[in-house]
Amino acid sequence: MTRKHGDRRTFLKGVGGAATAVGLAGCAGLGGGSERDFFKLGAVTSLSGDLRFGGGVTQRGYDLWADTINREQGGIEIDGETYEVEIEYADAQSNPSAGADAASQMINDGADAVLGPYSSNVTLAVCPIMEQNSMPHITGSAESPQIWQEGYEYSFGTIPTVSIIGNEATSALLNLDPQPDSVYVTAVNEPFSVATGESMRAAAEEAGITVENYEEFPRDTDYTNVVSAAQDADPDLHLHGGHIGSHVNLVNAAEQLGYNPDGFLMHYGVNTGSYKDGAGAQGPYTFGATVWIPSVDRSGGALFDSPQAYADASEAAYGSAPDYTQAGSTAAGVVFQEAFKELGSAPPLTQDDKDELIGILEEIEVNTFYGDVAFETEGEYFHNNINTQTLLIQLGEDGSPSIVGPEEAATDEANYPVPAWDER
Amino acid sequence: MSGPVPSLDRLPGEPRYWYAGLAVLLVAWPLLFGAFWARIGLGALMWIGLAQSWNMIGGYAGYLDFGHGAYFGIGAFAAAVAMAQFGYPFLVGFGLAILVSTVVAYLVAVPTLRLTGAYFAIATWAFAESIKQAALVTGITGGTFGLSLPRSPETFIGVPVPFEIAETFFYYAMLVLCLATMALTYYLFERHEFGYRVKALRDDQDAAESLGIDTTRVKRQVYVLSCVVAAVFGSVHAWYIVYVHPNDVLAPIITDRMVIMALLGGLGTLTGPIAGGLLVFLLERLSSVFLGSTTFYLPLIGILIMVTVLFAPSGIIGILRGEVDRDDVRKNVKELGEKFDLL
Amino acid sequence: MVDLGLFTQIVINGLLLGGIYVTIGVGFSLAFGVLEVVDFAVGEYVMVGAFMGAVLAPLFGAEGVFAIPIVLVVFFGVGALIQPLIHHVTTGDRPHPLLMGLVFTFGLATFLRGSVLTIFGPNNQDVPSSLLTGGVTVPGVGTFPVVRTVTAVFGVTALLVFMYYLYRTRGGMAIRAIAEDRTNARLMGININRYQSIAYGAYAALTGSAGVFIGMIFTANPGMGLQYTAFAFFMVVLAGMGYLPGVILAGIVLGLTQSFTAVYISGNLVLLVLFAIIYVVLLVSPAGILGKGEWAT
Repeated sequence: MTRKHGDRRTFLKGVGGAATAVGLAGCAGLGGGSERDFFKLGAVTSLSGDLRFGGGVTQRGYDLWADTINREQGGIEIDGETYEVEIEYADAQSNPSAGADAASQMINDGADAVLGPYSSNVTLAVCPIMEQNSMPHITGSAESPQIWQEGYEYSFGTIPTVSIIGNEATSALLNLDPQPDSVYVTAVNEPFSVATGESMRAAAEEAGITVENYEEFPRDTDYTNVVSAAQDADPDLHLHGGHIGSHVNLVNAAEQLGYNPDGFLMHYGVNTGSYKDGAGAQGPYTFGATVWIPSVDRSGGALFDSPQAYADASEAAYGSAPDYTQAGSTAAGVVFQEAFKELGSAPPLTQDDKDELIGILEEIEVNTFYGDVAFETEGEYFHNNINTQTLLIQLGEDGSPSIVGPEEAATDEANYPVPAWDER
Repeated sequence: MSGPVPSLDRLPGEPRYWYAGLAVLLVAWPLLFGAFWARIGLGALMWIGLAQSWNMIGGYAGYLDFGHGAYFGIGAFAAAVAMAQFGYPFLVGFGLAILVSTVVAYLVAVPTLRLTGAYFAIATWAFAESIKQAALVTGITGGTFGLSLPRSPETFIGVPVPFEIAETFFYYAMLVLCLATMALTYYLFERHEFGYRVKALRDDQDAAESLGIDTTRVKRQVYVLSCVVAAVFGSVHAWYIVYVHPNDVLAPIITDRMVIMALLGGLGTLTGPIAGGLLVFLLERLSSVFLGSTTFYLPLIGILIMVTVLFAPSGIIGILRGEVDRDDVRKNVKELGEKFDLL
Repeated sequence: MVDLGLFTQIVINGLLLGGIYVTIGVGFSLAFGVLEVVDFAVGEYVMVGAFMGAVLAPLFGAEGVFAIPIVLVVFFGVGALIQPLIHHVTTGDRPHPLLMGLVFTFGLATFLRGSVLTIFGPNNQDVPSSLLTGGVTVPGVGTFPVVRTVTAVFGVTALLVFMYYLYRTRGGMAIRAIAEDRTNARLMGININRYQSIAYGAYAALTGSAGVFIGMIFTANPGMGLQYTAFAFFMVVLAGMGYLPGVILAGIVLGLTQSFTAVYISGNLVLLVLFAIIYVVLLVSPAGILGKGEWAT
């Protein structure tokens, strides 16, 4: 029986010690005062785990906004006073449950508003927390149409949902000369990628082009089989929805098997460093979809004068070229900044201020380097900004993207049909 | 009640105060510290319960179940399907989670428990991955899009309840479930004759059989029990997190965490999963607070696991109990050094 | 109607995919059979090997193939030093030796994955090769991707070399004696530590260089390891745990099942079918499809 005593005692020691530690940490966490002379934004994004790459992109986007407005304008001006912006991060660790906890942490810490996570799964767990706590929330990167179908009052998004991006990019590609007769569509079995693949298929069907096959498969599949089946169907174009790793595997297998459609259109992320480094020699000539690249012709406006000015600022700050996710994240900050000005309340914001802010966000139209942002107020894209134009891009020899469609936005001629693997 | 009530006079100070203080802290926790810390608290409680559920089959019975997370996911999807697909209140989903997990666990137990050791570990792991892949391609689980659960006041029992279904509610739900799991473990494995049969089976199956223990039956009982406990936590988690997806609630990391928590805490002990669960969960969740926002906690947990296994195989509880002291570590280091005699 | 051109190509794809699995399965099977270690870190050795390929290739004129000798040597050395740790946790008077071994390698896997993620970040890294590009098309049969073909040849060669070493040399005899009975081997005057380290080092070296090939075929990514751990488990289960010659058959079965399911049934069901097969094989014939694995506990 003595052993039992030991068990009990150690139990109490252990629990007591841990509880004290957490209790102390808890008290430390409560120390947010209500007197504040700056705007405090909470940012929930994945800084670790599988989605850390995307999380890092959004973090750069949010930081670049805050740093620039603080440096260039001294902060946000309310009634002649300027209030600096401070962003506090909480790690969503690439999983919804940690993301929801992180969102709650930001609310607990008394944020005025929240900048949202990377990836749809995490966003779908974060939105209910925002709803429950009536906290204004703009995400600069989540693209799955599911989020907007839920109709969350307090959540907004600056990047058009992928069902629009995928559809419009595909339409632009199908308009290239010579016009293709057939496409082959593949998608990785995950929410974002399936939504992408389905939007590509829909666009092809709308254009009256033969869809040879539409196939979904798990992320870790072997792509030689995908390629052999596609090669057998011999389509003019191959359209693929997935993340960067799957694009790399697809073009590698295509090169190994000599599969040469007139072009590959892949979404998300062909104009990222991760695709360029991962695909190596197979990278060039790939088509991709985006809503923003540095060379796009847009007016600028609040904060950054032009897309190029934004890209230069990013180069200076991080030594890397921004992609549309980073730009969309910065734009989320810019939208908040303009909405705060219109609200005209000094920080910290009260609950009434926050509720009023939602009304302002529903009405707002902001001209930014990223494009004109305005949110839908009804329908399946509720609170999503679908105004920003989709661009069809193609990677050049050096891996840098240029805009090749749609016609009215194109700055370069597409290299199409693309050269066969052994002619590169 | 079987067994004597343990005497408490060996605790430092007045033991009643310890219990009372702990009880007050546990009950008052969400009221004292607010929603965020309620979330941390309820997460810790859930993981302690899950670690204990793994400890039943893995620690007490010695069967390395590497597919235990499947039942967490089955419980989560049972609740999600009942609520999101059929519009039933949570209580129905909760019942369904128990029912489905019992049936599945029994059907798995019959053939799989004939295997032992690594074979059992790999078979259960393959089973769990099959379940995850099946959930990804099945319509009723929402397939690749997952399911969103409703959480209005009438979704609990079918008629509106007078309190908010939010963090505080879920904290107390997890507290009750966690305490129930602990009490059940204490009673069944530390007090009841059942526990002795299970340990006899773990230590020597043939000897246990010669004592007249129906080992097949006992194994199945432990397995089904531990799986149902995991499923119960899964069902509450689904409602709490609102959105369930196979890649999240059926992820292999769920099993991995349970194993690590039970092992770091101390296998086959009542209190091990508490210590291990608290440590690992807090290390993961609060790493961004204490270590900065990096991935640095991953290699750290890796090293922690390796060092524990090398030098303190009975886990944190073993250290606290004084089973592993400086001499043991010294002896361990010496023995380890001898194994590097390679030439 | 089954199209013959596609059919033969699917067979080629499946066999070459099997070849990739053979390169992983050989070392893993050796580790299991001889050392009785179920090594959760196997996929992470593949991952670290691929990253070494990505880092070293630029030093050799962007040619990943030249990284392989270095990877072999480094992994052999590191593996030889890891084995005593594993030996320590799986022996002595500790409870659950098997679980301790599993969990120790699990900790090692977490450490390796976390370290690479922390050092290199989450991005994909290309392992370039200019020697092994494109495919060779045999008219009427199909296309053989060069890099995959070379990988399969490497895997089968490694298997033959290991078999030769185990059954035709003194060192191999010592290792087999250890596998048979550790205590007896010690009494016979064999330095068990040494031969166990050689075996584990060889396993690590082979698995690491398989990683370089896999990096050239696909890409290097910190998260890639888990998938190869899964495939290594598939391989030993089908082959029969510890039964080296079964590895070839296991690779063929695994590769063909995967490619035929993907093309003729549904791409979405590939992993479901594979995991279900493993589960059923374990229940019906735990000693592998040939029934020749050792029935260890």
